[in-house]
Amino acid sequence: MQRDHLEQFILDNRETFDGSTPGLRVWGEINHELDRRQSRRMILWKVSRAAAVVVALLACGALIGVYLFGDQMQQAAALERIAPEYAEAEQYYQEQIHQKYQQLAAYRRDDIVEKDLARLDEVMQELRQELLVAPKGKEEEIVEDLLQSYQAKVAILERVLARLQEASPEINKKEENEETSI
Amino acid sequence: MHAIKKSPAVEHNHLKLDYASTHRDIVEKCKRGNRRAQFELYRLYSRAMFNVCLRMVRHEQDAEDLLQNSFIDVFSKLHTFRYQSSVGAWIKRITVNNCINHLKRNRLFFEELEERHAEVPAKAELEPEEPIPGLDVEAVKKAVENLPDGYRVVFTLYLFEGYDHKEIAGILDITEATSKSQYSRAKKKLRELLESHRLGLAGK
Repeated sequence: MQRDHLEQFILDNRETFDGSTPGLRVWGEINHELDRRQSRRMILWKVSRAAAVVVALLACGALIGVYLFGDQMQQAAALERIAPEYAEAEQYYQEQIHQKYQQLAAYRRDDIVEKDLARLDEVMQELRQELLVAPKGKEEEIVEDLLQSYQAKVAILERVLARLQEASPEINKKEENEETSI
Repeated sequence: MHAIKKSPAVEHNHLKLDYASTHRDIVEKCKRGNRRAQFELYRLYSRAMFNVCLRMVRHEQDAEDLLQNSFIDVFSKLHTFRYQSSVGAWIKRITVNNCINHLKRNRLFFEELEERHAEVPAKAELEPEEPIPGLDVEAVKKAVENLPDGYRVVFTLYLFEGYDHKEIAGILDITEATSKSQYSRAKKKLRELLESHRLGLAGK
């Protein structure tokens, strides 16, 4: 290796060229910055942990929802897929039933009627389950049965309501007034 | 022409000692955020890195700021260090890069490099060199400090920090030929500065 006099001098005294030392404040600043970053990381960690808990709770909620209402959701999806027009009809009937149940809430319901309604609910639930596993072609038949069950349910509720309203027309009158005043 | 193929500092014993150790224990503790180990790593390399910064940017305040930022970078990037090189060489590369970026931001020394790179190597390189009488460390330090940025950066990276021209070309994003020609011009200029310094002293 060819080195000239100047290069050789520098290399021979290389360590002496590193004679300057940095001020003490430099480590102080580094230390401070490391502290700052560490606390920022801690905050981030805490926030992300809190976020993880929220996500976990939401996920649990969703799982519970699927567990509790999964069948209904599946059934609704199946109905929607098989016959969209029947799905619309089902929605209509459900609204009707819901409305009538609300009207009935003001009265004490007869036990026999309660039993009939419960039996209808059971049948409908069975029909819905059947719908999920039904072979092609059989599906429409089940949907028809389902809708007939709805019609039966609405009819029972209407009959019950009519009888109750005959017995105490004031309550009906009052309800009508409340409805119009809204 | 004596083509300089390898940096002489690479072969220099004390440099080998300085950068050979991986300080694995310290590095591993630093990776876990152990502040005492981080201070130990700083204590081991801060002086050498501060002098690297000083030679590159000249001003003490800037050099301290660069040292500070470089060590913060070192500690935040240490988890990526896989012992491919010694930890000293790794720290030095981070420090050098920060210095280059500082110079890029504040001065136009890269234009200076580009303007000169097409020129043929200086004639001085071909001439038999004469020893400079009465060389001393402080005078050389002062002369290096007075070199133009482009010359000074290439000269210090090669002779003081031990990078070869290929590595310098990579660091500065220039050609190897530019690095070589900048180096020989820097050396010529340094000799002139030292000579005028000597004459100045003699004239007093």
